[in-house]
Amino acid sequence: MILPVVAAVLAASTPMTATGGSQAPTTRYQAIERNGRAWIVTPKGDKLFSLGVCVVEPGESFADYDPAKPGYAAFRYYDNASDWSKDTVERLQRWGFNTIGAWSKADLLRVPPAPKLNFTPILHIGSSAGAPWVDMWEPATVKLMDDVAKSQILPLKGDNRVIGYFSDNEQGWWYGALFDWGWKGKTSRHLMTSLFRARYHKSWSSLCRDFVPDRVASFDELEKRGRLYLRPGGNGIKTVQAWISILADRYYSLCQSIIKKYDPHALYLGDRYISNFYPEVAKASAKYVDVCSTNLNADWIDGTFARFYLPTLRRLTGRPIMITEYYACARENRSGNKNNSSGFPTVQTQKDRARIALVQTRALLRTPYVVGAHWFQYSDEPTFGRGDGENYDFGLVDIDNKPYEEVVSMFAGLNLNKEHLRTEPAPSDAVRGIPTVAKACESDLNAWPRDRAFVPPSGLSERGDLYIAWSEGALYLGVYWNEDRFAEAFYRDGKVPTQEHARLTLKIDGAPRSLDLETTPLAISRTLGVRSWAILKLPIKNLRAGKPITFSATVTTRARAYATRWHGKYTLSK
Amino acid sequence: MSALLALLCLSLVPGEPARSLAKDAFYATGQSGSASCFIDPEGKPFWSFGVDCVEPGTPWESYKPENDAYRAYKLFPGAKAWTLDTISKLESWGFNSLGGWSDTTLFDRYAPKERLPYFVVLHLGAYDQAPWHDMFARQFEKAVDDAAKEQIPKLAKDPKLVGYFSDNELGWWGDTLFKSYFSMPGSSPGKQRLVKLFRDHYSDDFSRLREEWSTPAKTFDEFASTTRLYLRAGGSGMSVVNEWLSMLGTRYYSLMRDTIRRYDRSHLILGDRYCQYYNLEIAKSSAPYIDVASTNLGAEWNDGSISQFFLDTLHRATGKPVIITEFYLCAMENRSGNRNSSGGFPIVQTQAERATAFKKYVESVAALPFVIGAHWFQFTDEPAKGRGDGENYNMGLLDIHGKPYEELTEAAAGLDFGSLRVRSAANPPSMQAVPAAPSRVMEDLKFWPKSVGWAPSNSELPMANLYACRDQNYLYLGLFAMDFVDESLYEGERIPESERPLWKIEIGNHPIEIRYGGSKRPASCSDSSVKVAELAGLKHSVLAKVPLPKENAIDLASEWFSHSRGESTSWKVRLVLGR
Repeated sequence: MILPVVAAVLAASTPMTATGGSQAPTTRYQAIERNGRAWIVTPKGDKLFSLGVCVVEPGESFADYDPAKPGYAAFRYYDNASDWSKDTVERLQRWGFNTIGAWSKADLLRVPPAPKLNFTPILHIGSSAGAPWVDMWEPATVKLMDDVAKSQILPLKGDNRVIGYFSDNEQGWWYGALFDWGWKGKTSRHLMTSLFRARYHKSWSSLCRDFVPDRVASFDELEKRGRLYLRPGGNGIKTVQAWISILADRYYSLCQSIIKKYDPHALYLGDRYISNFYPEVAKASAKYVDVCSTNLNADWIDGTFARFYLPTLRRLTGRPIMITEYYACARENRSGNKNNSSGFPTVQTQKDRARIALVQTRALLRTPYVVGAHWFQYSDEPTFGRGDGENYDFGLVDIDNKPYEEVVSMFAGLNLNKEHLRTEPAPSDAVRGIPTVAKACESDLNAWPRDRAFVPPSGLSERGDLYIAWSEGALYLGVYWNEDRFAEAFYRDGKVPTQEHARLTLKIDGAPRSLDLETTPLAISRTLGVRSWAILKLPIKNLRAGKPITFSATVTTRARAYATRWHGKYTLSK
Repeated sequence: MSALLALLCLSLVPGEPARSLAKDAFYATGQSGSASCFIDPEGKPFWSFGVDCVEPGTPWESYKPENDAYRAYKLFPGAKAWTLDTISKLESWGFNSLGGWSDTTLFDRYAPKERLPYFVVLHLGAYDQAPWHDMFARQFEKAVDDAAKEQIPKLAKDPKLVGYFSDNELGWWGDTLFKSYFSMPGSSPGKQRLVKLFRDHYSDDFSRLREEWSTPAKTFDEFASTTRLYLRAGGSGMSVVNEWLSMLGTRYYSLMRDTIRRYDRSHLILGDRYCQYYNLEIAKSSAPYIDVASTNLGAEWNDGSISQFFLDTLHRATGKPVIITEFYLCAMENRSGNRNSSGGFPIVQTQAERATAFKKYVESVAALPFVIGAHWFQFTDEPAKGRGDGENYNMGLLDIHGKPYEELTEAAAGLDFGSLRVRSAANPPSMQAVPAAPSRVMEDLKFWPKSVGWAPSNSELPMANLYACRDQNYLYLGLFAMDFVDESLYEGERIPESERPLWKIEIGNHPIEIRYGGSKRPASCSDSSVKVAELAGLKHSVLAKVPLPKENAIDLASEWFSHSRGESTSWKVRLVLGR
């Protein structure tokens, strides 16, 4: 929620106001919801589930190509660019794709006649201007954003196959870093100070209960200098979240008005969250985007997603959702990709790969509010990795332009509109009985029977899932949650203090315990990061099948930013 | 490099080879024996035998199969292989540098050690359409500075860079440029300077101006706002045009030097690559601001021969060594399907003839002591059906399939620059006795024996050549003169008879006057016993057939005047007829 005082400042300083819903011109495509299903509707009135491919482009140029570091390079397989675009468009349509996703060479791909192909270009409006890490109230920033969009949208004008635009990709909505950067901009500092005055009723001492001031001792000084850090144990994170809401509102309103200025008939397709949305940001976007977009790296090796992710994003935004990147890789690939530079789902064979790609695609197709899924990407990454080292077997084709038949035939076999009308049967959960786990599960949540071990939250989970299982003599809890990437930036000494760690408060058949998820010795394995998880082993005697367990749990993320609660009575199953 | 070192490099005196061993020294100019040359950063003499447009050809992104073209991407697994192969090809054929428009980024990236010395065309003036836009305007300075800032700083420290051409083939069309500046609004800085020049020239006396110029203006104030101005016949108004061109040239070349030096204190400044023609006033004005004068110069005749005055006068007018930045020869029989039909480049029938003419051209320019390099245009043939602008010539060392024209490359590899440069100290050959006339003598100078039939001029800066040959009954005199005429300089857009270029010949006491030029007007001659033929052009050929004098030797006086007597050339020679 934006406080009235700040909202007033915001409105006054906004040069371009967002197009109001009622006066908005008709878009070429529409994002609609009918009979419990969301769709993109084409200019001809057809319902479309946008199955797309990202990075459909000719790869490395002759000038850059190094045979010792091979990668996809269309000049090696096609006599000229026009042959490439004809063949590529023909292939993609044959394989059932109907959309050219982000980072594609739209100027080439638009040439071959393909009336049923749709385009969703990415504009990089914010990142090209440094937003949201610069003062988005500075006219120079706004002009840069405007220029970036203009130069890309105008050449596409008149192409009725452009569904709409992504304003950016994987924007770094890192609260810790953004709170830090906010003090550097003139307008952003003023807006932050106004926010603090309002939330703390102009009482500097109440502010100091939640924040540690640095080189500043009053609101008036704060207008000019110094900054604030979170006070460990305080409740300042709520004000930080309010500030992020203001920033996000500014960003989305700017992007929306800029896009609609140059193409009033386009949909605004959001900014592609990095498999980790930020609740206040997502909520702020709802007012401006036509479709909310997120890249989605399967959380589990079998191609399944965290249970909270899409339903929560949907509840926060109320918008149709488009999955703008998703992935599957195999160790056995023809490009020599090692698949080891970061964490994308990697399986053994191309057959396995096709299977987990199908698991993901079908799950997305059968999610009623999802309107599209864009496969990342057209070709494998170079054998020894891209410039940034990313070295995955992501391709529909290998680096020699040969399709992975298992994968493309899987896509070709899908009936998109029929699948989208289906409903995935409700997955199982621990309500039907807490499952047992084998020894292998002690180190890896991937090995868990996560369907049966899933504990439904009491209310909305903003940041994670909880799993429960047992074996003789112990109860296991699997906690999976998302964190901010730069939480340490909130604190004066650049470290997250112990009392600000993510915590699990647990009460099982008795007295509550509060555990530090980042240090508790009860965790037998754990990974901390943006995607964190911990497996806790709680020795309990006399566990046996049929025994009821009553427990309640609360997970709070760092700085107590978000809390999710679970409670209920469960029975140990066989 | 430190400012001090830069100064040391700049202060190299011509005639003294560089001996600086500073590790970041750059190319300079100097002498080797009695011949000019570049001096490389190690202090060694360097004669630049280069190739233009050494680059990978039509890019994959823009290639259209209906117009086949050289495409390195079809021939090599990657740009590195192309780069190394290209260097080894060029070196094996005797070339030692990369001329204009070569992809020096690729050479730097993939062959930082092996790469050849290179030249860069900056196009600084062309960014704002010099010389046609007002070069005195602030906007022009800014455009030039922007273009320099973008290109130069990343090159300024590179010891492999020989130097910069500020532009290529700028339109130094004297009359037209003069008219163009006069037509600018009265408020424009260019027009204001031109009006001031008129005031100075005519000592603020408008009536004197009107004696030589026709204009509806009655005062200098009106003169500033009118665009109508015509040169009257008989006067000396052409000297104002020449003064104006000199001011324009001074403005251009000084701005180029200042701007380049703002970003690079060291590298050579190599002129602006004239296009087979130069205006003498412009060339003279460049002298204080360039280190080397440059010109594109195709062979004047398809046997590979050039006209003696062109390079000689360019050198004397500037006092600088000269580099030839493009030269060409094309054959009808080529493997790229080039029709060689879009413009005026020298064309022969076979690849063997092409190689012979190539050799003759390079040998004749390398034999000139002041010429310090020649750049072949270009690395590959043009696309089968022409470039974007339609130019469709067999200009390549390679055909569009990447295969070398071996006759040509062998001719290049066989050149012995060492002995050519030693020979260059000798005086050029000239007429001992009038040579015999060829069979098609009145058709074209190209048939004439232009080396042994050349008569040296006694002018300091000749703009024409005089040739002679004879048969049993006639003496043939040939004039080859460079003059650009824009008839809109004259009322009614027609050059008056008295203002046409004039060729005077006096044999014994018998004067002959020939006037030529002007659209669709044949040359006229004062003597009906003299037969005249001509080939019109920027360099006009006029051939005169005179009854052979009876004497064994005669004194010939001849004079040539460009239109309205802007430039002139004279000859006084004794012709040995050997009867």
